[in-house]
Amino acid sequence: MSTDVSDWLAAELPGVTVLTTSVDLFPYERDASVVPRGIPEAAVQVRSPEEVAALLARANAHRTPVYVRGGGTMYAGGAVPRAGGLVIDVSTLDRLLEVDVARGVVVVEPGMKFGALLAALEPYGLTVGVVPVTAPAATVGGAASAHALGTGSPRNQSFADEVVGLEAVLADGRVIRTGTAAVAGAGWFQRYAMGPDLTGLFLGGDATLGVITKVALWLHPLPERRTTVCFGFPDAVRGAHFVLALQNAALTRHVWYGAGYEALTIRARLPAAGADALPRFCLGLDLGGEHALVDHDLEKLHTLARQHGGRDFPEFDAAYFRTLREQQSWWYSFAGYFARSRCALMMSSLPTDRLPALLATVDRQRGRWPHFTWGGAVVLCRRGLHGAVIAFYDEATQWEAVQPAVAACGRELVEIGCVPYKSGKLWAAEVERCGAYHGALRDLKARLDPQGILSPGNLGL
Amino acid sequence: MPTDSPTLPLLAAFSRELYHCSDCSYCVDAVWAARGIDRVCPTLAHHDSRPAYSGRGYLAAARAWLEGRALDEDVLAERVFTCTGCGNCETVCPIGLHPHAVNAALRGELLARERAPEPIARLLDSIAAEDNPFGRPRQARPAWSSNLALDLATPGALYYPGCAAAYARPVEARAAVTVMQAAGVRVGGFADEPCCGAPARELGDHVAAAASAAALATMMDLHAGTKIVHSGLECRRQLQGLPAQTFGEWCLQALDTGRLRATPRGTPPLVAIFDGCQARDTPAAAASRAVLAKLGVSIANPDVANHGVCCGAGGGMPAMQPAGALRMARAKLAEHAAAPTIVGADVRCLAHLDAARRPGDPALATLAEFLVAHFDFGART
Ligand SMILES: Cc1cc2nc3c(=O)[nH]c(=O)nc-3n(C[C@H](O)[C@H](O)[C@H](O)COP(=O)(O)OP(=O)(O)OC[C@H]3O[C@@H](n4cnc5c(N)ncnc54)[C@H](O)[C@@H]3O)c2cc1C
Ligand code: SF4
Ligand code: SF4
Repeated sequence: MSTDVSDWLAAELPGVTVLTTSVDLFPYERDASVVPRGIPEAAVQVRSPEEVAALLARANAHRTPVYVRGGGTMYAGGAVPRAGGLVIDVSTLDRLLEVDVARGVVVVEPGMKFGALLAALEPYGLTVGVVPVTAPAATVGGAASAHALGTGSPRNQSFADEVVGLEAVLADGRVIRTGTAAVAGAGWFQRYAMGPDLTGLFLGGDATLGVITKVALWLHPLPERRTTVCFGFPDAVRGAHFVLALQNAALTRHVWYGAGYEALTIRARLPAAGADALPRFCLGLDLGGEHALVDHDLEKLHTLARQHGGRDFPEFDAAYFRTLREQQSWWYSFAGYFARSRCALMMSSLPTDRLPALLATVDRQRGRWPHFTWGGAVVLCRRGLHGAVIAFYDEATQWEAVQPAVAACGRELVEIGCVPYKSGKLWAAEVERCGAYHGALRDLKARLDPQGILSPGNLGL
Repeated sequence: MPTDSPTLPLLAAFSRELYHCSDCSYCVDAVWAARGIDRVCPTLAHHDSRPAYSGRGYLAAARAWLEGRALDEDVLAERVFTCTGCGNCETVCPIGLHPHAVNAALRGELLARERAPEPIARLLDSIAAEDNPFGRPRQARPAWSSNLALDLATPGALYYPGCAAAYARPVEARAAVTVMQAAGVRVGGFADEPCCGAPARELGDHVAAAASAAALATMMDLHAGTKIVHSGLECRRQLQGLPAQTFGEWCLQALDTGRLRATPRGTPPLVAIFDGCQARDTPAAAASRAVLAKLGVSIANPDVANHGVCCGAGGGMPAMQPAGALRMARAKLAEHAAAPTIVGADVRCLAHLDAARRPGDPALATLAEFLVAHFDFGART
């Protein structure tokens, strides 16, 4: 069959608006990651699930690589069209389909931005369980496919845990619904039913097994009261013990966001204070819930922090954490990441006790790759942490040089016990190293996408 | 990084910024309720959703062009000249980049290569030949002032309508002069009033814009020390360095100092205020609200909301995509339908909205028109 994408699109799907000029395609070459650009042959801004199904069916017949793009904010290059081909832009598939207050479920199309979703739910006094920092631009489908975390993670863990079910289009154009909606007419009200959890196939899947066209999410009440508190610790070891203690005591239940910062960040925010007077690790918590319950947990947190050698750290709260929180509830540090330069960001899952090892790894990179500015931070989950290691680099002159640094750092992170979280292309090599696990992924891929058209390169598939 | 491109000097000036962009897509179609932003780019929301029309799209194209990659300059020109110039993309960028300024540089480069799309070329021709973008003869400009007793010899202030009030909405110009005169100002004007260059600047003809601004400044030398009061908000930047203020700013000052006294004739209607995007976040934009609040007029939208999304009057949009410009205007009218009257801070926007108005839509007035319609004036005695 012919391989010229725009030719077969024009001949076989004449009703679809196809973008083919270089000027129209430049914005699809990259996302917010450090991953090298890919040059697509065409892009389609889809308008309906049926259009997605038709595109995949024809792309499958022509063995055309297909990449899927939501907001393009992922830092692992999932939407970058490394093998060229077609980009399906789902940001135009963005309707709110249903707010079922009685069942506590909201159903949206994948291109809906979190900013729009939260604004639509606010009049109901409702919100969703996990929201990434990039809410104004990130899409619900992208978050599902990239395993989002962020606001809500301390209470609810990962975005995947908040997904009730999905509709997805497979590589050959077949449409499936998962969760209870697998039964025609039943709708989404529970995730687990009738055998294994097929929803999970598409969560964190980086568009390798299908394209998500609907997402059902659990609804949560908006918290009555919200407040922030910061605790400083003499070192990351004691900080980690405190985090473990609060996780084991279920004190994350009213924490909507929690982030841990290393000594350099603390000093940068409080330059007037002498370095010796400052803690070497700090945890900022954003609590929300009923007044009395939040007060109760705050008291317990203070006691627990003292028991672990920590202290109340209101200076950091005022200088940084609360300020960001007040500027925009989910916008904790977005601008800070990019204020001076672009950055390569590696996000991993780590057991809480590996927190000191993560920060030590960041320090080692500083010695090893001094041409880049390195930073590290952790985001609190109900269990475990997500750790970000960030290399700030000059895109114009250091972009090539930063690539091996990122790869080497990724290796070290895995060696200390971290696990790739948002995988995309950034972590592909590490995913491939997981022999049997990756083998099973490949088998699934061969079964569901035998031509290998879906997002080649993501997850090492 | 191509910091010194002899072939694309305007773009090269932005190369650091182009490589700093994080591709976060906030400037494309972000929804950020806390900042009053519901889909950043009006072009994408109302004309065409492809990101090549967005701030990020312009940055990506500029980078590619500077790097010498192949691109169709005519396609680029179509995307670039369609932008409304609302500046929303700059407001939303989390790291303070300037995608709209990059768009302006792209316009400049494209004009240098004679790549102006046909509708834009027509506007530029009209500006060059007749000193206005409306395709009207230069001689028609003073018509707005017929039968107004302007004091050309010893003016206390010079009124400068700008092209939009002079050609598209003379009723605003006349109303502004009426209010100023009622405050006892000897209102003068410019004989053979020139364009300030704002339309040329907006279309990327920076040379013509600078020449017009310089010509106006020279003319002002004859009136050294006399204040200019102007209606067009888009004129603001061109008049920088001259003792100029908008009509709204003048009005606020005149009320504050007691120079202007206004008494309502009955109860003025509830109004919704349309701030426009030309003077966003400046005292000029806030002035209309402040004047009406001071005069006790009830305002249906006291907080600025969705303030940057263009009504379709700006940049190349009306010429390039009249249907898109109309959709934007209709959306704006619907957004402000909470009141029977919309008061617009920007006369150009008002003229555009009026052309899109349908039966049942709110009535439209500029600040000056609204004041003349609903207030009696007296000067300090
Ligand atoms: C500065 C910065 C801060 C960030 N902070 C956070 C944070 O706090 N929490 C967090 O979780 N993430 C964060 N991210 C990463 C990113 O914002 C999130 O992963 C976001 O959820 C991605 O959504 P998106 O719509 O931009 O997805 P995209 O980048 O467009 O896509 C992400 C992946 O999903 C795939 N995909 C997209 N749509 C679909 C679909 N409909 N069906 C199947 N696959 C699809 C893509 O192919 C890609 O592999 C941050 C990124 C940056 C740059
Ligand atoms: S100036 Fe306005 S219309 Fe132009 S790209 Fe920016 S947001 Fe879009
Ligand atoms: S908002 Fe700023 S950083 Fe983000 S894509 Fe646009 S110009 Fe780049």
